[in-house]
Amino acid sequence: MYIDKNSRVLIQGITGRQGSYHTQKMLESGVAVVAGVTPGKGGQEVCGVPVYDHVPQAQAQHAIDVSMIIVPPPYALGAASEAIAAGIPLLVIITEHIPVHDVMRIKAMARKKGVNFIGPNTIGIIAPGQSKVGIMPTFLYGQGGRVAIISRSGTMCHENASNLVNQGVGIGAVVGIGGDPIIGVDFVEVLEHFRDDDSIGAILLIGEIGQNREEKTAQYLLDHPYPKPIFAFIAGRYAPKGKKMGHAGAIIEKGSGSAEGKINSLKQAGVKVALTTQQVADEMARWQRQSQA
Amino acid sequence: MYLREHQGKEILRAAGFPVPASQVVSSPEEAAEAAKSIGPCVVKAQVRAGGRGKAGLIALAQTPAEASAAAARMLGQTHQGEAVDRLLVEARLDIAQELYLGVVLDTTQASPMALLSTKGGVDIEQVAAQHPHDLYRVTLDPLQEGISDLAPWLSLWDKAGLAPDLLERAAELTVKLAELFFQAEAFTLEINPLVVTRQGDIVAGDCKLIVDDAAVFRHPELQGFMEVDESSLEARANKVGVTYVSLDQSGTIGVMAGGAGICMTTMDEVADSGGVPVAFIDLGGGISEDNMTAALEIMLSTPGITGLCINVFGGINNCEIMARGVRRVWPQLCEQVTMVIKMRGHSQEEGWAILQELGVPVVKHGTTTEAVKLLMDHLRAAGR
Repeated sequence: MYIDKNSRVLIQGITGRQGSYHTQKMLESGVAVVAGVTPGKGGQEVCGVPVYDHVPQAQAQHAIDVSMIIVPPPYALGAASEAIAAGIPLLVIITEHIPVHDVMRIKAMARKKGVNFIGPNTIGIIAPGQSKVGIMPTFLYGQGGRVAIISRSGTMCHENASNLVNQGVGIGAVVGIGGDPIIGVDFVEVLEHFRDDDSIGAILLIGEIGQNREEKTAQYLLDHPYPKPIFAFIAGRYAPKGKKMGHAGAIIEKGSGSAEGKINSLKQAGVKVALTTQQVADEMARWQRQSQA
Repeated sequence: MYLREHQGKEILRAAGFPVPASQVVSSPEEAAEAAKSIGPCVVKAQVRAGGRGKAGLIALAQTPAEASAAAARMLGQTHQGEAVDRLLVEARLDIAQELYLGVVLDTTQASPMALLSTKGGVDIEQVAAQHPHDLYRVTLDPLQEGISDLAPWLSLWDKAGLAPDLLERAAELTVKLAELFFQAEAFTLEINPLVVTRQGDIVAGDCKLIVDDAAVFRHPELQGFMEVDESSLEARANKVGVTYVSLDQSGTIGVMAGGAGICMTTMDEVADSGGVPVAFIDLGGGISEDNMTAALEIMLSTPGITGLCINVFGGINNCEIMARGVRRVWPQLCEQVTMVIKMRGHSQEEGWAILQELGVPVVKHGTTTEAVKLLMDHLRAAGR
């Protein structure tokens, strides 16, 4: 998993309403939030965490493994550029509504520096019972287990995770890849990340209409057979064509990106696609019973 | 935001990209007036959807009388759901050749891609499908490195078969368009056809410009193009920070949830259960009691609504606050709809207590599937 108990976290945007709220929630969950950054607010403290004006100053005082960026959209490019230039190996960009050209630039800079980023427009990542760099309500995700969830949608993560936990299926890792047209790590990279991770026994992909992430994932699975069972759920089977469905990336254009196409490609690649939230919970509960038997 | 042709051309003109002389008009009299000063012209309906030519929404006019007649015929028509409320009266070009030039955001590569062809003036997807070798694609550097170099475009237009005396001008305009793509923060900037005139000029015949809504805040030149019907449910929803998406107008069931994914999922499951979703409201994050109340009132303004499924998490939102919003609209809700609420997360006990006091069926631990099934059962029982 991208994070564990020992991950040291920087919060960019820590003095904001959202930033300070989630810093407190992360500290309550035992996450090592070591520093925060807000330009012009250096020298303050938020929940006992020291605040710096810029990333290099925080870095001079603390070892940092991951930065969570939770700043207003116009400032996301600047915040991410600082973290990338400073060589922080992993960014989790929570902010929604960042101009897409800015995300394109962030992606180009991150590529050049070999930095991974998750998001934007994501709830972040959580290893239940271990650590989280994100904004999800921790108690919905249980205390750990062998399922990894990879999702484009935040609340569909909440929905499926809590349904699984209610059925006694434990979750070991959740990666919200985000709902924007351009994102950092995609389904394929996260699948690759969990390929040899023995603590993960099965994967749940949560996709939605628009873009071609699920289709690319299906092709990857055909080319590189995967050693663990993969389940999937796709939101938007009933979505009318050409209409933006809330997420900037969720729109069916010119016949591509429909739920039907995604479901068919994934099925052909051997993925067990559930059509309803109940089916997801039932099928994964069955998998757990069988794998324990 | 998908700009109309005349708006896109205004942006092109400001950037120094050649466009024909033109005027925007909204009556036959204005069209005649414009034709008088412009001379032989083309009258074009300013709707965004393609296929205007086939639909008779582009007409040549030699005289002001012809322009006026064309305008009288086009105004008030509807083209693929869009009303023709204005026209562009544009100087007629003496066409020698039609090219294609476009820059699109390739989200898969996370880079802009320039496309060009000497087979312009037709549907470029058709060219891509039937003559893939006639459509040239070049990935541009997202950080704009080398974006202003002419040399690659000179050789590419040459390869595409453009006449030698036009290469330099075509290359210059390609650079200009690429720069404008970045400057306007576009998703698509397409000139089809890019017209070569008999006088040897290269001019934009049409313009398709789609820009990023999330970036418009820093583009004053684009803000005037935002067209919002203030009375629409979508606009009312935007004002209170939620997103209203209308679905099937003959539908009866509204969905309210926190997040696009769960809105769509609930919509899907309503349709699976034989219901017809009429609209959803994505509450997003950080909803206040006032805004929850307003969102419910907007949902209740949806014509035809008889059922409502609220499917929310106390994540960034708080269950108690959302339940209090429901309580405030309760009499109205009771009168108009049969409803079910699935709710869990922060302050769930407090939220459930409020809802149970009202007598709303609450799904605490079950799935969306269960919540939708419960709603359908209650709707049947209520004879709705």
